[in-house]
Amino acid sequence: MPTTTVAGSLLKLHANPLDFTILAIYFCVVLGIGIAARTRIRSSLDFFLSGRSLPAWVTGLAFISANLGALEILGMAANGAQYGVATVHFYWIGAVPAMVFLGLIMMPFYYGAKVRSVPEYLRLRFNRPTHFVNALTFAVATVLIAGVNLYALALVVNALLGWPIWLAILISAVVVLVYIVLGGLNSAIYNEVLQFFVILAGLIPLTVIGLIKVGGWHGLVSRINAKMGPTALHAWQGTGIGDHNALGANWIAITLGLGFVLSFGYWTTNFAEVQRALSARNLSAARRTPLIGAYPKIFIPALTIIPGLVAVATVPHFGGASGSLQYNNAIPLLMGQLLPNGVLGVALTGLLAAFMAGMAANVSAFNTVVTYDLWQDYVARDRDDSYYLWLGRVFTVIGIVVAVGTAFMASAYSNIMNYIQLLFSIFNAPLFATFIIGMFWKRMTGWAGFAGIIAGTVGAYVTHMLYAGAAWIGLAHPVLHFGSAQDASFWGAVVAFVADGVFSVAVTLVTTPKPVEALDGLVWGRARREDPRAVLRGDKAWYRSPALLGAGALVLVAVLNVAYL
Amino acid sequence: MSSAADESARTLGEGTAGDRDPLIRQAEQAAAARAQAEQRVHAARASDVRYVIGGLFLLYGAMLLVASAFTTAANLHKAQGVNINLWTGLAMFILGGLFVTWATLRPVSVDDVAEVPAGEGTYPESQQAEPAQPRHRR
Repeated sequence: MPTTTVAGSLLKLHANPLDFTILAIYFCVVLGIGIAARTRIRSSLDFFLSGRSLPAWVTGLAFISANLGALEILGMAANGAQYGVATVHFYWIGAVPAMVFLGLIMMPFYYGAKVRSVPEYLRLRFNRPTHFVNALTFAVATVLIAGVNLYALALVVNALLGWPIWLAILISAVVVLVYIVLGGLNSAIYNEVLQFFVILAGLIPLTVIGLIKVGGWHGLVSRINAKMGPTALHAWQGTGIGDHNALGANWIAITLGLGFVLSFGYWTTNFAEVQRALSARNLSAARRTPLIGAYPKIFIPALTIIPGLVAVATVPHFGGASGSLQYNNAIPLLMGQLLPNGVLGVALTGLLAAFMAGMAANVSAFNTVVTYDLWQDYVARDRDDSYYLWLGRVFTVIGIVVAVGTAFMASAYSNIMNYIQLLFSIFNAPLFATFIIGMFWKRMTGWAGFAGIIAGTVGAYVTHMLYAGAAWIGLAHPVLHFGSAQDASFWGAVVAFVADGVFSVAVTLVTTPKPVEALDGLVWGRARREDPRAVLRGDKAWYRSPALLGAGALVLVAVLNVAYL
Repeated sequence: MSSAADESARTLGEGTAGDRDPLIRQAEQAAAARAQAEQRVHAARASDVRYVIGGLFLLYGAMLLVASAFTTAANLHKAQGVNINLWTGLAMFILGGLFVTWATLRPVSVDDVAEVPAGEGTYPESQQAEPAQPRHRR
């Protein structure tokens, strides 16, 4: 990665005034949204949860967009180039089922319990220590990820436009800072929706021209067969136990590690995602948020994997973990080679917008958790609402400053996605075990929640150290061996889940459970129903039925998995 | 669980008439709820994201369409012989137009905002759908 800091002439785009005008207009609109949103912010709830007022299609697109940062796009194109069609596992197995589960099963607890954040749910369901540990680790993890986004953005801008790293960091950090400080979550969400369409307007032409260049899908198939072998075009071939495949993971690691633990941990407990649903205007809209997001998620791999494969097929000497021709640069390389000025400006804008959205999503989750869960609960309680509103703006600034600082931690890792996955496997994976057991087992105690999270995090960390960190802890050779770094994070997640589950159950058996009345709205069987007055006339339309939307997404994913078996 | 309507009823009834006709009180409550809803409708219309997306895409679309008229041979060659600015510009312009049309034909209405602020209107499943408690109190 650090090698790209030297602006490779291969990557340098020939952007002209038209492209820069398109980019500049976008920056102006983004700032305008922040300024317009500012006048409507009267309470801390307006700032942190957009006043719980948004329609489902807006929160649904924001839900997917918060995840569709540029890191995700570049990283998935890199995976597409490296692993081939198997990359769809990150979408079809690794996202959609969890999103459906969140919408259908878990959302009534989050939204119905009126919690303002995911850690707050843990406080109500378990106890303060559990809450504190989760809020703190979440705040640290989000700020790290915001930093990763910022650093990656600076590298790409440096390589594509030749701007110095510090300038790119400064401009984008200031833009994000201004629109979140002014408009809070509302401007973050509006920008996410806008960014969703702009990045598609850049990626679709890129994919279409890329396909034309290689002679259509059939041309791509024959070239990839020649370069990467036939399994590269299949999702599941070569994933039997003991078989070899590019991903380095077998079907158990894929379904259990990625599909179950990592994916459910990320999509159902990551507040940067759940926050979008909590800002929806009623329970029906909140439940539909991840379900509406699932549909774009099913088709986005076409726009990331195909460019990755086209880069493999057409760019000589493409590949590797560093240098201008590294996997991560698949999309920037193709942009420079295939897009004329105009569309190039749109694609560039989409990419920068995606970086900023990825960062903004994390910053807006960070300021909420720090204000509501850390400051309000542990430092200054029972203050005026305007105090917390002001505090939210202060923490936005602090979060961005820290993100700028932590940006450089990312430079030690060559594949950004692996770094992100690692963070998730350590912080997120155990959480899902705690949530799922806590939601469905009324007896689970507060201290069990605490012990489970600690055990899971330690488990994931130890797994990582025994695999990748052997030298750090004074071992000559890694104790554990995995097919790839991806495979290691899948199994790390499984270890975290099992450790969390075992400790949760064991500690529950020796501690006193909470009285059932204290768990109203928080556990299965004691869900809150929505006040009929909160239901909107349009909610009853058949196409808005959460069950139907969820089932539709699952059927679609099943069909696609069979089609690309 | 006290609901928003109970709250406003208490405030409205304060001082003037604790023993007023429940029908009048109901009407007042309904009027207050309607005024609140209209305020939220107004706020939602003023910041309709559909206009922002629509406007930006109309502008980008128009810019690309103009640029497509001046496509150079080199740019055409780069994009594999496709005048991609034309097609992308057209698609963006149409999408922008659709968003603006949608927002104009179906503006945010009272149907889109709930009578109670979202998230406040929940109560335990163990209770009946129509909370019986307040009626007994009256």
